[in-house]
Amino acid sequence: MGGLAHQIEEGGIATTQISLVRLHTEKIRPPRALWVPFELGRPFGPPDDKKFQMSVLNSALELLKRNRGPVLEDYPYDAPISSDEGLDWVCPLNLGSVNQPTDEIESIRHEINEEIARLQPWYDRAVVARERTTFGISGLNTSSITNLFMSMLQNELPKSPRKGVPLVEMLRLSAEDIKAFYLEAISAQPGGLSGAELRHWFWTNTATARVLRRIADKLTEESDPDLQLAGNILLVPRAES
Amino acid sequence: MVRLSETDEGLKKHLEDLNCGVYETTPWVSAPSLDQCRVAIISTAGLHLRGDRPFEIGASNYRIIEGQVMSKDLVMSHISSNFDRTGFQRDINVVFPIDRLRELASQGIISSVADYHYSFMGATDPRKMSTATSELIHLFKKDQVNVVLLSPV
Repeated sequence: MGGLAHQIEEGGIATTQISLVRLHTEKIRPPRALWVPFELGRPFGPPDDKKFQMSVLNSALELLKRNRGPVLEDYPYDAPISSDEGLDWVCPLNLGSVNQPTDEIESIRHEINEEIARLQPWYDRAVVARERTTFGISGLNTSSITNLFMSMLQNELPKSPRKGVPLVEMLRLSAEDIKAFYLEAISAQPGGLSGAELRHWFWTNTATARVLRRIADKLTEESDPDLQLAGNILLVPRAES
Repeated sequence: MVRLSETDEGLKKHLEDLNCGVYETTPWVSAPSLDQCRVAIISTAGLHLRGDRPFEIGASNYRIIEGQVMSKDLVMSHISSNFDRTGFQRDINVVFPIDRLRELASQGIISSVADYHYSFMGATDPRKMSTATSELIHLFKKDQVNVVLLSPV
């Protein structure tokens, strides 16, 4: 981020920025930066908190009044926990499956399909409430994503389901889509969890996460460096691998 | 939470070891007073419109986000799985504070919000984005932008 600030300021336009990793900003020395003690992915703080977001934004814009730099200032407040985050929460949906087929891959497929079916009403509710969804970057629906994941558990690697888009990109985009589906659905339920707790729920409680781990393990043994990269870091977060 | 001391060991090591490049000097452009600032956002969150091409591994190009963008049209295809997306899923202003900027402009605290904003995919080394950034500088000037707000992810 700071590298871009250097380039833009050299081009004659003033910049101010948010810093999430202070160590990087200390090394890069951009003209103006406000370090915020928030989790990665939330540079302006918690969702649906206009007042807090505005405070962060104003603090970043205030740096434009300085006469010289580099300026690296610390935002003094931690992100508040949203009113519906951080409560004691137990997912009311039992995602364990019953009546599973005996074939292993079909059994996993069955389990994932059940999870998706149970989450679907909550996902639909989230879409209505927020008037948006972040699902859809792969161009596949949940059923096709499940099919792609299941085909990855076979011995041979499948072809990419979309012409002109490499398999590794389709796996990555599909993984993001299915996580968006699960997390948008579960966060629409009453009560709630922080972002970190939601992610932890996904990675420790769902059949889809187990499959993603298996796919990631398999990809680490491939010779293609992009597939290896996907296996090592793109499909499963470092904190959950 | 992004205090390295509180971060997962694997991610902490990755962040500590990341090659940030060497910057011996810092360029400086004096900013106009806030009420004269026309502000554009550059996000490195891999944002784009739903119909745009998703970002790919190693992408150093950008996507255009029009100033009138609606939150329902904005999605994210950053390659990293190591940051929270649940905030963005609920509210785009967590990474792309367009509504907050619009509010500041309507109150006269800043002059205006740019007609165009841009997003990169921040896992790529920013030094590889210099060609695209040069383009953006010209585009910002055409759009009368005099302040760029940079938002990481």
